[in-house]
Amino acid sequence: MKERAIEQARALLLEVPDRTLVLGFLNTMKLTPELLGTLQSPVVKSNQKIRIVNRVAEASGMSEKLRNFLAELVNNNMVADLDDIVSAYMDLWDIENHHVKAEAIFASQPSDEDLKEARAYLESAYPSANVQLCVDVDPSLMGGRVLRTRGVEYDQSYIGRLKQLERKLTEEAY
Amino acid sequence: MSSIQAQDIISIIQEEIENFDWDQTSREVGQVISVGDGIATIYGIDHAMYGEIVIFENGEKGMVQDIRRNEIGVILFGRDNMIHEGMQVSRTKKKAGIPVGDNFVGRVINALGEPIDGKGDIPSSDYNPIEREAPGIIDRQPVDKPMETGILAIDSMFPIGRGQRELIIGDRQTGKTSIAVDTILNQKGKDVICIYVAIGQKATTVGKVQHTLEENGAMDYSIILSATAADPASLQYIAPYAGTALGEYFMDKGKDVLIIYDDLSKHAVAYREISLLLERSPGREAYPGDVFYLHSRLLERSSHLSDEKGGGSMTALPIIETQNGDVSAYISTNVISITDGQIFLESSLFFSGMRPAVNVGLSVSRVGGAAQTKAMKKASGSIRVDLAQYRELEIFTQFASDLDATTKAELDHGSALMQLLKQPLSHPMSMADQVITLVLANHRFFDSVPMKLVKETQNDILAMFNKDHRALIGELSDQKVLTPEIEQQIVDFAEEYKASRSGDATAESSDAVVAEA
Repeated sequence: MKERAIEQARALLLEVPDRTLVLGFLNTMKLTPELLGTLQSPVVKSNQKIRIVNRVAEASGMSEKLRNFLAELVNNNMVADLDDIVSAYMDLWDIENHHVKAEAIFASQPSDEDLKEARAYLESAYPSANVQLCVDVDPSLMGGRVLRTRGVEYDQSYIGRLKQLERKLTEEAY
Repeated sequence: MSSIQAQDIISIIQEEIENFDWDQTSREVGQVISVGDGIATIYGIDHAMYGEIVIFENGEKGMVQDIRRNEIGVILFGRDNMIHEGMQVSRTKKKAGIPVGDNFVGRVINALGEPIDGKGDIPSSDYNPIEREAPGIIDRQPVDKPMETGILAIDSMFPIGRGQRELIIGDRQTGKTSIAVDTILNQKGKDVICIYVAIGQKATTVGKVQHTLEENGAMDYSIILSATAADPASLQYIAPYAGTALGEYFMDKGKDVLIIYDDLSKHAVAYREISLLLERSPGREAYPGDVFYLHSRLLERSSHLSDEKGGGSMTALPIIETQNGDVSAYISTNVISITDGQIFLESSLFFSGMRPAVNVGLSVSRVGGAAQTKAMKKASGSIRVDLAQYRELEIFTQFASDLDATTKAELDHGSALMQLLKQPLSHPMSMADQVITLVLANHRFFDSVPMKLVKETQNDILAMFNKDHRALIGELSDQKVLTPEIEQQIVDFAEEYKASRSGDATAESSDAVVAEA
């Protein structure tokens, strides 16, 4: 994630705290590939791009803040970073609103009990947060689970334990 | 060694597994967002420490060198071709370090402490961080014990003490590494651990050094830490620090350590490469602004510890390569201002046959006589002055035809001194031999010897002393004091030897005349 994309996302979060508006904005931009292509094209003049932005914003009912934001991206040649910006916006929104998006990877299809246990574990690690689980299956774990969220990983898989044991037995420095 | 059965090994492994306490704590992870030229940019590890080690998914390790608001820059310790975008990276929460222990003596290792000599793993007893604060003022004591190089030119005029930093500086192929290696060879039997850190050298050069040390039995007390030119810049960058960490292990146990950094010019180049790739602002000669600190924090760790701290010492011999004898270049002046003196090697002296090619005028040891034995201090009393006078006279009289007797005598004395200071490779001189040579030189013993025969005469006389006057040699070596009686004995024995050789020469020439008749 580029640093400047994250900075843009921070600014967007301050101006547009409603994520549904931002999601709608992204959907509008992706309705047709020609729109993003034109806005990134070096052969299209800046004032032409701004006119396109204004017309699309008017037709789609885009808020003035989002229209201005898009115009700034065009002027600074950052339209290509739009996906990264929106992705960073969503992460920052989750942090601001105490949402925790977690990836739960199991060695085999988890039962309801497994999911309940994983959720409870994360809720104890992030008290008063709204935990959203995204479940995946990876047989290479051999057993147990791996929980990943906000740059932190809780490796409770069998393969993780074996790697720890290997490090201990071979007395690696790290 | 008793043989071990397969069942024993299985039992050991079972016991380890049963007693294994699995660490259930979380770990911080991030993702690679870009990689190239030995640098990886990671997104997501928010609490990484500067200098911390991170591990990539494929087992590759790196060190955090750049911390920005939303990403970190990591220098890789291996190849970057197996690292891809999106790869997971996790923190170790440990600063970069090197395993240390007594078992490292006699081995050749890389900058990560891994053996590269094919002799198997090295069991370590501890793990030292490569970056550590230098000893404080209170923890030090003055340098007062000599670190003898065995090279007459250095031990007499620019003595090095245990705990000193003495720079060896000169153009390429002037004998810098040779002086360093000869110093290692001279530490045999003196309870000094020697560490040779090769930075950016050719692998063949490191191989030659290893071979020389092995041939002379020096590997029994030496360690070679190698980061050759084929190694990534990151390993060349940490190599001297890793070597110092290894040296500190022995120093903290009260031992004396000699560490050679060959060479710091290449170290600065490796650091410049890393800094430019991390997009740090280039300064003079494109080096980053903290290139002085790069070497000052390294060399300040070499010291003589106080008795309360064990009394150990680490003597550093950093090497700098100059271009066309320019000692006023950036890195050269930096390191000269950090060290406690320099030995300047000159190409013109080297090619005129003066080897070691030490420029007596530009070389200095700021510790000086405090690092010399009383015998050596007395014996080497006026040699620098004599050589300085000789250099002036030589220039002044090079076109003169009629010289007065005094001038001629001074020139002869200077020439003899220059011949005496020549020394072949891998032939360190003991302190006693050096004292004897200097005493005889001060008494103008060699002035009347034809220049071509001075070295031969010196060798013959020293051989005679070592064979026939071992008691005197022993007294000099043990007491390390040159009393007037010993000095007179040296002169008397030498004169006796000279007289006997003259008598033999006269007899031989008479026989030849008779035979001719």
